Amino acid sequence: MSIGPRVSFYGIPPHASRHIDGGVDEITSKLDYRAMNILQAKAINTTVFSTTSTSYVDITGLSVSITLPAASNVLVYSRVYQVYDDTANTTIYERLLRDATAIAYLILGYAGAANERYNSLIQTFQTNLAAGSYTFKLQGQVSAGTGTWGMTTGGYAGEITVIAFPY
Amino acid sequence: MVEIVVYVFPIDVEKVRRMELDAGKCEEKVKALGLTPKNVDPTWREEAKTVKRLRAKAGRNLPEDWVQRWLLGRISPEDIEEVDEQPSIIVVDPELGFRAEDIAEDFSFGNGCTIGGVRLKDGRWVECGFVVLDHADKAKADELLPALKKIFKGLG
Repeated sequence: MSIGPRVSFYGIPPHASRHIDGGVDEITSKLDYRAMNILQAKAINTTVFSTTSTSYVDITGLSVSITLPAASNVLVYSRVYQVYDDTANTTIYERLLRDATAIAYLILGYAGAANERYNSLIQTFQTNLAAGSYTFKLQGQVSAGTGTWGMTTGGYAGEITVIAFPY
Repeated sequence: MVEIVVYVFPIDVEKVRRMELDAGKCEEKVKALGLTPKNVDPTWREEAKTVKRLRAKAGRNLPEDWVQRWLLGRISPEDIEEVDEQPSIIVVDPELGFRAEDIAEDFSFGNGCTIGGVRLKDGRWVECGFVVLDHADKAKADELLPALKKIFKGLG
């Protein structure tokens, strides 16, 4: 099972500014990638997850922690290749948490056929998070029946990625 | 009054990968033993540290059937809140090699049957299955532990 967080830090300090007084295009064109101080953390899951829970349960492997050295903007992205419920006219929910706080919800199904497949994709942008450690994770629940998050290898894996840069 | 309890069991990972074992199949067999998964009441959710209960926020004029509407996406998360009800009771099969106190405190078991994994405090995930039951079933479930374990291994 290839799950678990992987964190890398491209922390080269920014050099003296050399792109002031420019318009938006000029500034963008002169950004130095190495000076952006980007942090990233990513977790991948390649195992099938299923539940009959009608309240939120942690989805296997899709949890990642990151420590921000300073106030940061954070892009959080989660994806599961296929999600489905074996019962027609049911609803599948996902929510993305930052520690105990729900920061994004996703609803799938609602009036779909049994076993109809859905792509699950959540992206959200968190601005000005204070320095410190955070855990982001994906949870799911169903209104009835059995919900399955079909995660396997290659492009079918489930993933959660966090990208942070200074505020 | 204690309302719910969760049991955690090893699973046959290969059967899960081949889609021969899933949460729905386990739940059917758990019910056949005369046990009641707590997903009949969506307001309950068990985390590793605390049992949570969903309720309408004070001053919100929600319809009587707000729980059913919530399950259909017709109630805004802004109108409801979760409160801590009681400490969690977690029974972990010894074969799994970890104890209940090793599980990350924020890990959520939900309220039904699940085939997936549990996150430990050290960040590791352990593949396993679990079922959240009404606490009234605890004595019976304790007697049926071997049968429950077989179900989650796909043998029952």
